[in-house]
Amino acid sequence: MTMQEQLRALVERHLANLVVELARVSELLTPNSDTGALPLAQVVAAQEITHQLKGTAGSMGFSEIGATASALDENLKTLKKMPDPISAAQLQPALELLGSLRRIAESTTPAMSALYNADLSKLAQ
Amino acid sequence: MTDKLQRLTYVEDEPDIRSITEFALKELGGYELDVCASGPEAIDRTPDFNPDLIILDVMMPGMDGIETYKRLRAIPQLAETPIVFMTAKAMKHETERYRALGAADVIPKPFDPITLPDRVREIWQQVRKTAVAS
Repeated sequence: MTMQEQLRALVERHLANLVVELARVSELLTPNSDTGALPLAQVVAAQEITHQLKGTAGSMGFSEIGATASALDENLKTLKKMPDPISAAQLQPALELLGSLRRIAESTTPAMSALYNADLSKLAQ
Repeated sequence: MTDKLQRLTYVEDEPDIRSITEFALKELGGYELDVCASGPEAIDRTPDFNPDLIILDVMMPGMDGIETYKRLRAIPQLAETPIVFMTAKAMKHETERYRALGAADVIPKPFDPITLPDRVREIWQQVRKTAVAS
């Protein structure tokens, strides 16, 4: 396998993992169906995943996903400082950002990564 | 301290970022690399590997990067080994905290894996320059 092929395989695997991780964030940010409120512990868990996604997606060459994950991360950090539980109204901006992030991720292909067609020929030692 | 940077220990819990960094440092940079998935793994293996430089994630479950840093530093053989934090927690006050601990430098996430080997080489050169000057 060439270096370019290795790099592309890493990008492809990351994008598949990303969709799974975002589904986990979505589950964590699903409020109680009766009250519409969300336990703070779930916001904390969702923020930890989102924070990691921000760094990983950006480093994998998906700058738009990284930037949107960063916006969600900041929003969740603010929610973490609020009293437990989080109300439906407080949660709404985070859910909108998450919706945008999932739509972007689902419409992204590996070839859209800045790394996918990177010229490695001059870099290899 | 050796003249040329050859051996790196890299500590990171997240599999995707670990893979791309490993690719960048090993395949593109040509470094000899020991990759650890947790702080305890690094504390167990790093004295034997005896790297020239250590790259350490900050947010890790269980033992975080700060605690791992302190424990690595407490190992006499690694007391002077340059340690670089690679982290998404890289606000000004956070990087100042890492430097106050004694970190050689901070690489913020996200980073460009294509230029990462050069960035690490620059840090190494800076560390060597400082060591020679003192």
